Amino acid sequence: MTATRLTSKQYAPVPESNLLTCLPRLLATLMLCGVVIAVQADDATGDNAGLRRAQMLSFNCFTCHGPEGQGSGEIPALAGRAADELKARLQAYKRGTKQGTIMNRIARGYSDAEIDIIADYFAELERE
Amino acid sequence: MNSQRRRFLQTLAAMGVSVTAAPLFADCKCLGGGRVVIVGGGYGGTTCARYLRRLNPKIEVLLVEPDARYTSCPFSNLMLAGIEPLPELRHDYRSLQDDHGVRVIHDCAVGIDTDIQVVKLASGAWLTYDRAVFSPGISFMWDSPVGYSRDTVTAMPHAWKAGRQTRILRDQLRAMDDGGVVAIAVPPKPFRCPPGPYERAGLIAWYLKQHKPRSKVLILDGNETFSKQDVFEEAWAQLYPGMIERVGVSGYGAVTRVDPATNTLFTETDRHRVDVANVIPSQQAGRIALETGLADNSGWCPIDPHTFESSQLPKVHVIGDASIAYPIPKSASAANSEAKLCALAIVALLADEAPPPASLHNTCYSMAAPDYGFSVNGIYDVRDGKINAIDRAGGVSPLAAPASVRAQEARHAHDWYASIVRDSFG
Repeated sequence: MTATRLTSKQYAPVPESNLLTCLPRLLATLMLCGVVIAVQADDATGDNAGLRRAQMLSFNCFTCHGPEGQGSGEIPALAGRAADELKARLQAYKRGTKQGTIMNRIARGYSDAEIDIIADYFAELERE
Repeated sequence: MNSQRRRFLQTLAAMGVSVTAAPLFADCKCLGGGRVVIVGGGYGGTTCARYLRRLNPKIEVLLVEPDARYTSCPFSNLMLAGIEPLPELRHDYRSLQDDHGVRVIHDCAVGIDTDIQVVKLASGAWLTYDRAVFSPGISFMWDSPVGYSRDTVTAMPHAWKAGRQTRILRDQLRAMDDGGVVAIAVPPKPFRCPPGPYERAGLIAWYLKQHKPRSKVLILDGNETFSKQDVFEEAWAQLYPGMIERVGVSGYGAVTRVDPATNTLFTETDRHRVDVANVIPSQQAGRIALETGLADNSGWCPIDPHTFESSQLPKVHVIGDASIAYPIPKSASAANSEAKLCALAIVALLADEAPPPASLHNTCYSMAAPDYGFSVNGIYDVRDGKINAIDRAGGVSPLAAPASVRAQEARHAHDWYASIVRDSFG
């Protein structure tokens, strides 16, 4: 599933907080190679921040639209739908050109940029 | 990062070595991981557990919950009215354990030591954590109203924690003679599920209309206004004319004292001897939150809304009904949203990264009859350290909506319930 792919990308190992456990290997590497390793601690941070922002916004949709946006009864699935279609729908709800039971009240809560992020996120999820 | 680790890194830095765990060490089990202990297996705790595991399977998640099964408060009003069977309200923890790798521990948390970062259990076990999440729900303030206690909950059920209490109230409704009065005593805000007492009034009226049509529902309210009031009152007038009477706080509706022996409810000016007394007592955060100092003088738990980390105890987060998240209501939907925010924040914090900007959401459906539903919702962000309801969004279903729309929202309520249960319990 695409969601899994996204999360594995997110967790490029980073933290220094777990260094103690890794220490024997680290020292061994330093000694064997005689190399000073200099790597930026926050390599992956930019990517993670973008993904987490998308998750923060989009996970809220799962409450009604099913986990991973797979739908629930009459509440439609969002996963795997074209980003442009989702953006157009959300914008129509936001602007009131399409009438829903609750979606107008929800879509008005998000900026255009946030709508783009949410639509792109669901387009990347796979419909099971 | 603890001071020992920090000192060690400083030493390495002094040696001219700039260090991170680069992909070289990707097989180090601990990387990006950590251990999170979650206390409470309701909608908040289960959602947080599931999303922590979804976001980073390297995080070990322990969920502490005394009961083998959870009985859902959402939809329990339908069970009272005989619309939904009790099994539909029950959810277990097997999927969390088997499918999502959450370690479920059926025990009761009795304390916390934030110096050594352990949650203490009734069995004597200590669980160490990197982060702890408390989702303890509510506890009742006994003697509020006066005379209401643990000993009176069978005579005057609250049914505000679902399960046995829901069955007791249902059985009392079934046993009542036609022409009886069912009273619902509503405590002053804040309480769990703000529209809940009014949904209950309507669904009890639905049951009475079919089986005991001369009976009445009397709402004795410790508040002046209530959630979705206009839409509720419109529905009651349409569906149950003359059957539901409500007395607000300005009409001296607040129940101050009860006498279970005679099934009497006292307000400042009146006494109401009723046939069924559903007394919902005043509420505060779950007991463990009071005992550990997570709650402040208000009886609820102050938090940093960016992460839902406690303002009282470091590295301990509080989500769901127990937290002070005003203007977000105390609902399952809100707990589910707060749990996801909390999981995202913890995953970032364990990786020494900044939590993403907060975005929260609440959607609550209420029913006035099996085919008559409506909703209230809100979208929230955090501004100047405070939770902010985005004012152009949210609101209540419109008045005077056609029956087809009410029926559609009633179906959506069922779909919402199926969805949030899967989203929380797996």
